[in-house]
Amino acid sequence: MNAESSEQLRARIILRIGRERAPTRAELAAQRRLVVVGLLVAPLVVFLGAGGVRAAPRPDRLVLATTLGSAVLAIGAALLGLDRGRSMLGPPRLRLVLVAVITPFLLFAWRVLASSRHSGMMAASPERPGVRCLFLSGALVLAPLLGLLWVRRHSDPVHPRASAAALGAAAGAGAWVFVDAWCPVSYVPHLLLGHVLPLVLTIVASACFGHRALMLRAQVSDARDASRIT
Amino acid sequence: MDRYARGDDASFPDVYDAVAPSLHAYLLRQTRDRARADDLLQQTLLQMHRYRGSYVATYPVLPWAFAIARRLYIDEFRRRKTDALHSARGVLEGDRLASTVPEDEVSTREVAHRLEAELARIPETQRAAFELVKIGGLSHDEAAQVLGTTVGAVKLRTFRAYAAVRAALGRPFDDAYLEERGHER
Repeated sequence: MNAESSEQLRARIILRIGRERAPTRAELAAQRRLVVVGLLVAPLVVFLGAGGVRAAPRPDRLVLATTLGSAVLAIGAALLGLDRGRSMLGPPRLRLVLVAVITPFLLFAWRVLASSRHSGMMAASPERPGVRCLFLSGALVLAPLLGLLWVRRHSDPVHPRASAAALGAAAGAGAWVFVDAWCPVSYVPHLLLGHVLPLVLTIVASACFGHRALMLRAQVSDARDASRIT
Repeated sequence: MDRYARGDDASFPDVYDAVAPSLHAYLLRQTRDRARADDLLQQTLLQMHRYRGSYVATYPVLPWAFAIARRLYIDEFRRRKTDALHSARGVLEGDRLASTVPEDEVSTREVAHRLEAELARIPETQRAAFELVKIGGLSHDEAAQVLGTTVGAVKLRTFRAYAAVRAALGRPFDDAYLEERGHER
């Protein structure tokens, strides 16, 4: 087989690329806007369907403090986990792993800290182990996580597992905000089972399975196509 | 790349000319096979084409392209690793090529062979950093992005790889060395 010259290779690749339609920046941005609206609306519908904000017996100040505080932490997790910084390849692996590891701790610590400042808010509630919160968290996080994975699909050639874990943390933190507003119980075992566990499970599941959606992989047809032409 | 991401298809040849030469040299060095390097180059550019919409203006293109090429090469290498027939054929072809090399090129080829042997011996993380910085021509910052690590880690890995290569190339061509590397004179 004769080796292909550089000019022939260039012509062949330009021809091949020209045959395939790829979305432009504007088209992709429009798609993403739709997904982002979906990411916000879907958990809101689930939250309102579950009854919305349930303050009693919490004072309004506590509801506001826990919800706003966790919202700030969730936004921080999303910015650190999703923002690509000044590179097409996203932040370093260490930052993504830190986001995935620290987010549950911070959210838990904030809820406990805020609740402990109001008497009776940390009272034992063994009759409410947190199973309902666990399922509500799962229902709230599903659409945002799948949406984020879809938006970022096949785009991470460097560290898809760490990126998927950070995405899981961001989506899970978003769900935590809604559960914070919904659940008045701050009993620590309840928080661990109903609030922290689903967040940790989301991060682990996203790292274990979601990375397949994010990882860049050559399609078999591409390799076959290239081999056939050469 | 910015014009291309906005939908100006006619600017793709400019993108090709900007990234393809260094990418192709990198892939050729990784695969040591022209046809495979050509295929991987095409696949890399195809991936960039598919995700051109996600390109953010002013962001450096080369680290992105290198990271895609590296990932595709690793995937392709893993697929081929299981193909024992291919490996056997590669060895035979290598022997046949080596036997036809003129005498005056033997020394150069041996130095290159020793460089390859040393690079194959050092840890993969150090080798990858060394190849991107010293051979691919990327900055430490760009190589750090490609490898998903910090600039400090890349500097350290490159330095260690460079020290190992320099120490190896400084050694004389003695029989013991060649025997250690499994070569015959």
